[in-house]
Amino acid sequence: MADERIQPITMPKWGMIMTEGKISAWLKQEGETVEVGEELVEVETDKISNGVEAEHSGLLRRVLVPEGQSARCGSLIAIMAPPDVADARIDSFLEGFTPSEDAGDDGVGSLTSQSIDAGGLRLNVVTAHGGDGTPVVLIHGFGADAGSWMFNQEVLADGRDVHAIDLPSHGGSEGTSECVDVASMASALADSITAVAPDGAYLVGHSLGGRVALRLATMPDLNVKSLSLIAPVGLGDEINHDFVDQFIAADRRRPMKAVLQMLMADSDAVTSEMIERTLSFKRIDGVSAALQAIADASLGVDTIAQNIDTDLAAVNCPVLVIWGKQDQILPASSADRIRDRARVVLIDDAGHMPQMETSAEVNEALADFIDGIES
Amino acid sequence: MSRKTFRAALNEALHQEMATDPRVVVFGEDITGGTGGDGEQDAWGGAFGVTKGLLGAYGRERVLDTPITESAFVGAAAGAALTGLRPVVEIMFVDFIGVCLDQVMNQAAKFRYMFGGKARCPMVLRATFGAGARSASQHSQALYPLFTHIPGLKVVIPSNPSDAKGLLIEAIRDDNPVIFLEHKMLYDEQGEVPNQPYTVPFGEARILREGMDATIFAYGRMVGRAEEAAKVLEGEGIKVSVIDPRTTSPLDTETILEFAEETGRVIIVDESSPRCGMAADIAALIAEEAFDALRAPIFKVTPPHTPVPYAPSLEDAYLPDAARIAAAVRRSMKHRG
Repeated sequence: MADERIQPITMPKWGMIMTEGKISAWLKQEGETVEVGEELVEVETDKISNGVEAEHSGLLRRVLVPEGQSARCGSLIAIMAPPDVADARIDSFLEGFTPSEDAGDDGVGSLTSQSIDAGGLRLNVVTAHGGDGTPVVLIHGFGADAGSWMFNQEVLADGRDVHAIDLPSHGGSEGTSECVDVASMASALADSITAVAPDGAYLVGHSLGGRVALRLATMPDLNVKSLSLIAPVGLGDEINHDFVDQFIAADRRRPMKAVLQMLMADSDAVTSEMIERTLSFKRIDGVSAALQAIADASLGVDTIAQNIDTDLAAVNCPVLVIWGKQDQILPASSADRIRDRARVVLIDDAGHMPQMETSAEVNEALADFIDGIES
Repeated sequence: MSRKTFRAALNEALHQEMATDPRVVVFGEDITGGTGGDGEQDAWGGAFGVTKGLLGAYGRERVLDTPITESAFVGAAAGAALTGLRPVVEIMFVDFIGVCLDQVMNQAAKFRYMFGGKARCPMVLRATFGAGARSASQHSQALYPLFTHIPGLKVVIPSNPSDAKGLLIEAIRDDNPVIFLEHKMLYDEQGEVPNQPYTVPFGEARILREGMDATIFAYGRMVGRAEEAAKVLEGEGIKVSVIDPRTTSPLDTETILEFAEETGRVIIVDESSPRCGMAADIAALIAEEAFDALRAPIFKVTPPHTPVPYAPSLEDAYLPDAARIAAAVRRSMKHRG
């Protein structure tokens, strides 16, 4: 018999190719009480290491995978339960536990990717399959790709599919020299959103992707149910131009590391893998030129706040704004522009990438907001 | 992005550069074929299949089979490069450099210097190297130190499919002679490789893992073995960095010294002979520039100074493996410096 007070903790899956993770450290021990959002365990993969934060408060009853050992994604690594749940109940829970079916080689939440023709431009869409509910669409920022949602996509895919779209000229998507401004990128994305979410979607956009999401939310045909903006471009007219220029110019490891560190509140969060990944993308023929064109058309002194008031006025759905207080790229104070009509969540220990640095808080804010609209 | 073999990644690099730059031509022994037609059309596409399909796509003007005379076709490549083409020439086994070394060492490598910078020699010499294929001592050497020794040559040793493609495109676009060495045991290795053309710059090391206890430097096929050793050591609580410098010339001295200084313990894995090899070269660099940071002697893990044996058991024993690499790291850790 299932006991709902027993909370299984499973090995997370970050990104499409992670199949297992190694426990590098338990930050809570058996018998300790854990609050929501507190870091429970540190997990390391070939690609990245990160803390896993508790999704519920409670008592850590069992640690099943010791430090230094690996476990497949989706398999049990610990159990949380209140003190009055008998040990025998936990034992029988363990016996009866089967890892989610997707936990095999195809991965938890079975991320799949497809290429969708959006008005002559093929855009890459990565999907976490979660159910029939109204889907969530994630739009990443300048110079990034769908991978920037690696700590969010599967978590949000609870009862609904979550699609992460690569912007034109980014990740696995094609680009053209025309499709560089907010309006053209939004219309290219609109076609692919219609394809994956014909009955409407909850939009989530980060940085430049937030600005694009804002434009998408003005399009009545898309039936956008809500708009969540994480450190979006355009609400203020300030941007760290050094970051944009140096990001485009950086062609070696050291300068790229310095640039990526500007994105984080904790500069140690920038790993060699992240640097290598970003450089690999930038070294693809034509990418630097495309990024420069996008920066000129969407992030320039004269272009960054273009049409912002018109777009804001045309949005009818509920709006959530999330911002890291230590954002060095776009100041968190820009959220003030929309404070009268949006729920605003400011996060203390996050820079420009709160969805990575403080993923549990961002996931919770997004899930609360979306669930609130649904009910 | 999709999964490709090392071989397919190289083939894609050649296809993409030939498609965009009509100056790129390819020649060597048995390199045509793979078109599915008759006779020559359906030949091998190179002894290891890397050039398969190029003939069908770019024709006989740009994809040429040569007679078995390296001295002639390597010399022809140097001349073609000097006069405006960008030849990619294949030597089936790098060991065959013996019969055409003058063309490389005294001609291609020297043109730019001897003509006061007015001449360019943008040729790529691709060759297989390395032991493990049961091919005996004239088909198994790791001769990159020979080329590294010669000023005027760039020397590239990819260790994985995505580097193989990006480094080959970089080599083809480079205005200087590049020796591009492919370990014959890596051709079937698979990895994620972007579909579009891209480059990986020379002289930039790849950092495969970061651990503060010691640093392992390795090239080519030895990179995978260093990774294996690092995983074993991790189970023992020893965290090592694994660095693949990717090119021997130019050499990323900055990254090498940074990691030598950070960890203070250095293990260099080199498939070439121990004397005057890359292990010796990197050890000398670190001893000169980072001596004060060292906490233990620098350890070299190389084959013995013998020809590559033909007997399988001896060939296996000849090559550095994960166990020997891990043992060298443990020896380093015993020093309490």
